[in-house]
Amino acid sequence: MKYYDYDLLPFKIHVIQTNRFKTVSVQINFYRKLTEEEITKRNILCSLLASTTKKYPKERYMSMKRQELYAADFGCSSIANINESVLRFQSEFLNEKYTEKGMMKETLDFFLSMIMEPNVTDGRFDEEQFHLVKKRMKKRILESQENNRYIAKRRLIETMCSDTPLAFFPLGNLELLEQLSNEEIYQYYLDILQKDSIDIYVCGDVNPEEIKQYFLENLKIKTTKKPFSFESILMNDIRKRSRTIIEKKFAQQSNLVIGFKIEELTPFERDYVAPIFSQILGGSSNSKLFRIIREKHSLCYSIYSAIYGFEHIMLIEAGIDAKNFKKTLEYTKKIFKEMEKGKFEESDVNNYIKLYYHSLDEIYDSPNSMMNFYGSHIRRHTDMIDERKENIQKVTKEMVMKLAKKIHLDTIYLLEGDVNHE
Amino acid sequence: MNKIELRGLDLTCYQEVLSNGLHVFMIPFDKVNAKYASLTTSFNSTIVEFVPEGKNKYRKVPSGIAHFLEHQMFSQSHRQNPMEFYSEHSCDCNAYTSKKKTSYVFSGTTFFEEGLNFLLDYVQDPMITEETVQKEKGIITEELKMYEDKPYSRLYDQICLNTFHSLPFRYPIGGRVEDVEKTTHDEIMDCYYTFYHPSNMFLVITGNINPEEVIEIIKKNQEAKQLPKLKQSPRVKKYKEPVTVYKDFEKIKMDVTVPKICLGIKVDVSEFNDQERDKISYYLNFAFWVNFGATSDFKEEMIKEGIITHSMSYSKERVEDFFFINCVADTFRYEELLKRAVEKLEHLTITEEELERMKRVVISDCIFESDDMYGMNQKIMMEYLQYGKIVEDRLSMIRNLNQKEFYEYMKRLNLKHRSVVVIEPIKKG
Repeated sequence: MKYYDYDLLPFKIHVIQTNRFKTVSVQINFYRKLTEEEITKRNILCSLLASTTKKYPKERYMSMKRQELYAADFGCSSIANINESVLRFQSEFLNEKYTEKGMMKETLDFFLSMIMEPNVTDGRFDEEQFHLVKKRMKKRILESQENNRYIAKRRLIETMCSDTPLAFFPLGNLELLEQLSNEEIYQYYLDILQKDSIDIYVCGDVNPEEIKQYFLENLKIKTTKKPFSFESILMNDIRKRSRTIIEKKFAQQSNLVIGFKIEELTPFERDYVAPIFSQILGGSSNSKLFRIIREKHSLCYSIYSAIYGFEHIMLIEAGIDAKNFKKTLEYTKKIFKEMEKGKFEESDVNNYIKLYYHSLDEIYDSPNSMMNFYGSHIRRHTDMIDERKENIQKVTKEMVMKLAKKIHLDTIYLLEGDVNHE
Repeated sequence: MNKIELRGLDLTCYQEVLSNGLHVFMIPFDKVNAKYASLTTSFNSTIVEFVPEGKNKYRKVPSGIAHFLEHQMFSQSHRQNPMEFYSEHSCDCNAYTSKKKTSYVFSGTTFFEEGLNFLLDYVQDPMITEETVQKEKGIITEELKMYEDKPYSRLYDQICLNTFHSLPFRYPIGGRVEDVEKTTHDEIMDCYYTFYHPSNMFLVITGNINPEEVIEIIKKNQEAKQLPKLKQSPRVKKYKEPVTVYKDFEKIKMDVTVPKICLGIKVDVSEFNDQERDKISYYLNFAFWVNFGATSDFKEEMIKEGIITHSMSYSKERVEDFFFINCVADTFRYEELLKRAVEKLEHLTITEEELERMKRVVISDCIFESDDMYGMNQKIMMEYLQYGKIVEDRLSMIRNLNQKEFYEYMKRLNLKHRSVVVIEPIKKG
């Protein structure tokens, strides 16, 4: 496996050359700083570009073409990622060895046409498609309210992190969605081509020079970008006393989310100590939360914790019966306190270090995990696999206890399931 | 060891049956680091009446018991708990119950031998007691409630219930809360002794493995155990299932924002043999993809008329002598959608060009899948359960599909036995 990086000024190309896969995977990422009003615009644009092109102006023609390209997979997603907004075009297709000669070029041509040859006439996207995309987005926003776990998590984050970009609703704003005009979206499209930073990742058994040449000739974006750097989100206002919010909804089950704020982490704490802390607390079916709250007290089916290191927050989520709310909360607080006091085994720390170490080898097993891992190294300067293997072994029990002191309970949110609630 | 080349996929499947009856399948993947093992019994959520090992009368057990038993397998007070063991050995472990099987799995890049021995040990010798059974009821009840709050999961459970009359396939995998409440230790043990004998189980291992070494590990483990021989092979109650649906329409209220509809179609294929059913399976997929899917006129028209925003999703399962088709959509105008879909069902067509394109898609999908050791593991499980063997040359079979045969089979299939379930929003205020 080899990495090749080319800085071609308007964009950068990163090739992970490997013969591990029968497929070739490509990601083209457009980045800029995340703002609340742009989320809606970017989401509309993303759906528009992925749905039709000038040459294939109907969705069914697009789908037929995909099928002809040996069931190649194409997509675009608009991701609100900490302080950056990413428009990600991605494709995975079979290596020519398994199809026919020339298919790689044909597939990449089609892929790029989604970005470079939109279904636009006289400065407007196809009107029918524009309305359809808006309608779909509206439905998606409405339907997000059917997922109780999602609702609970969003409400908690909106409350706890109200002054940060984490509070922006990632599916967009309904009012803005109605207002945005076709022309505005087209202008926004031109703006993106001109101003967004662009990173391209390719993973597979390919010739890096050929890839570079291909994009130079075919991705006709010429403007040089001001570098835009990625930043963590810091939590100010650490509360002395936590707050509790309870809302009701028609449902069988109640969803509990407990939010913690974390003081600023060093990169070492973030990438090495925090994952070990989280594993011990609630990261797996062998965690303290799982063993005590589920296995010992039978209070829930699922309970887990996750630390979001760049965001400096930790969430504990559980699906419970409303009558068990107080008990679950009590045990959770107690278990959390034990982490601070060091009431866990040295051997737990060592086992999770081993798990972390060996899981790193699995990153090589899928093109997506390779690209995402390498992408994080490029964008966020996180360590590569070998460095990580070395660093993770330095984590000690004392470090985990010290980290616990940086984590502070902030907000408790219960979406109470009530079958009589309308 | 038996060696089967999976043609066109650059993979080889190694196969052996041990003296205690355990079937072993292995597919090495040289280029990955991880290894994945699944130990499976055909005992599943649809088996609720059988003759227990050592007895001679049928016994009825509560629905959801296969899933309950799966949970109980993690009770191991005489040895380390599986979650703890695998976590200490840098592996992941899990278990799944479905309407076809129950599987216990683990994966990881290291400690494979230890992991494999432990898998065989904990599944072949659990410690289930009255107390562990009682304690698990609260946990399972919460799991069932979690699914009840998911609209698509409710839709599926209801369409199963309304499509079938007597096959226990109609019940949810986990059963109902009242079934879980009344499940006893004695019933669970009867299930275990009847269906978890090595001769009723099989092991599938994929990933970075050497089959010669792995089979030795398994043999050594199994030979060291003195498991009693089964007195009889399991006898499961057979049901007479009419070709009609149990209930053709039902509305449910839930806290949803957009109504959802599921059209279930029950297709009787009792007159066809296994080979024919295989082909029919592909032809039905083609028919639905081409006529209702992303490339169809139907989808384009329905969107244009504002009835739907995305194509209907389509899935198909084999249930005894039936193919059970599910089409799901979310729409405010389900009556119109339903009317048009039913009209379209009367005239399912495919052109030569469409058929060739579909063949290209499924062949490509087989190659994509062959790059995924988890997907291949699952595929081997399903093939073995379906056919009792591994399909060596699926690609040739697909290449031989043709338009003439498509129409011949479609003419012989009856797609008129249908059931519809709608989820409507509860009234606000």
